[in-house]
Amino acid sequence: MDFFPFDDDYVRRLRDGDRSTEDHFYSYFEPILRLKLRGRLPSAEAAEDARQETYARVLKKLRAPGGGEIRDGHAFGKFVLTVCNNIVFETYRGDKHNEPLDDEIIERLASLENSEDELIKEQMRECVRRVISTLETRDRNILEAIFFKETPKATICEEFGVDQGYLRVLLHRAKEKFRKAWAKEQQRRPRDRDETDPPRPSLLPRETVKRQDT
Amino acid sequence: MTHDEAKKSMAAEAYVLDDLEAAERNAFEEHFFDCTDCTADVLDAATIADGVRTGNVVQFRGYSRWAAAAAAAAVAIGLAYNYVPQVASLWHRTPAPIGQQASVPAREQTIDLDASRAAQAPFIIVGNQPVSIGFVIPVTDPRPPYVCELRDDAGVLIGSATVDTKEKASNPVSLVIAGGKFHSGQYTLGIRGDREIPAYHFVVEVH
Repeated sequence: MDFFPFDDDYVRRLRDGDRSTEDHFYSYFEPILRLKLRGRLPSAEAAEDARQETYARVLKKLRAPGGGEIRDGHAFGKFVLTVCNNIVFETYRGDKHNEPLDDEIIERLASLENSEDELIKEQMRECVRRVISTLETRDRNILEAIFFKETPKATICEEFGVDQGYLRVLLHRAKEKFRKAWAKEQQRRPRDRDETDPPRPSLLPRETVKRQDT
Repeated sequence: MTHDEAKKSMAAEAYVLDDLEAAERNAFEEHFFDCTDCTADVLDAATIADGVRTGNVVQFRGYSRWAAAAAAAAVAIGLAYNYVPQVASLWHRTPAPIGQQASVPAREQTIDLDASRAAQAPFIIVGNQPVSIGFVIPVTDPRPPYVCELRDDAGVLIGSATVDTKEKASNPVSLVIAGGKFHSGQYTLGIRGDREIPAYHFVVEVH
């Protein structure tokens, strides 16, 4: 998954119900929202509910009479995360609005969920797991402790003998090694790849990613 | 937040670790959608998290919730299909990425494993088509996560999935294997979790 430049045209297409844009909206934000909600709500089910609620509210706000609340299409990504933040805060405060949603939006979301290509996603996940299995034990353990076991940070720090600040460094290094292993895996298997292989993600060595200062 | 500030403070890592205060998190979120480098940092972490954590657990397509629950119950009391390999085909629609035309959907075969672990005839699969392996996690009061790993007779990992919620662990699970991964031979589906769970063993013949 790569950097995507949102703009007014994207927002217009989403507002107009363009199917491919809706598919993109749904799949692009899926990993971002999952990552964002991970550990911030009391259960995986609550996080999943919040993710779905985010999609629904964004579409509802976009399609509200008067053209919705988004003035600047370039800020669409931040807008989605703001909606998600609001839902998390409401959940914390226990005053979730439970805004009524249009049946049409609910049906749209259900159809987007059903149209996800689980096979392609699974191929991607399998690639990720295969590459992780090639990492050194320490890097593998860091990634698994953070992302799979969701071990409390204090426990991870204790296990690895580091403080919380240095845990960022360990995560950064593990990610860099993962990127390099991923790139090597892609180079090693070019002839084995066919149309059933997963799309290449943004997991590139740092030097190949263009930097954009803002 | 500028890019230099984000890099210097390792904001992407801090974001992933949920180390940022609300104001810092907002500032970073404001920044990263406009920055290819920071977007890549966060998306890479999200991709790794998805691969490591969520695995490929999907509900059986076309099953209603009650039917899935009923099937699980039937399997649990040892009444269901322990004598016939279940080989069926499903068609999966492949949504086209934005701006691209839809591709021809891949054909997928299913192998349903018997929860009683009774001996089953070889499962016959065809060519390089994807295979969906259906099974249940035979525990009461599941306490996820459960890591399900499919290995061949040489112990090579063919595919794996992580069941990370109670709801998923209580329903039939499907492990999707890409085409071309199987060869004729014996396979073991092991399930690791909060308790010892006997593995599934089965034989595949590739035609």
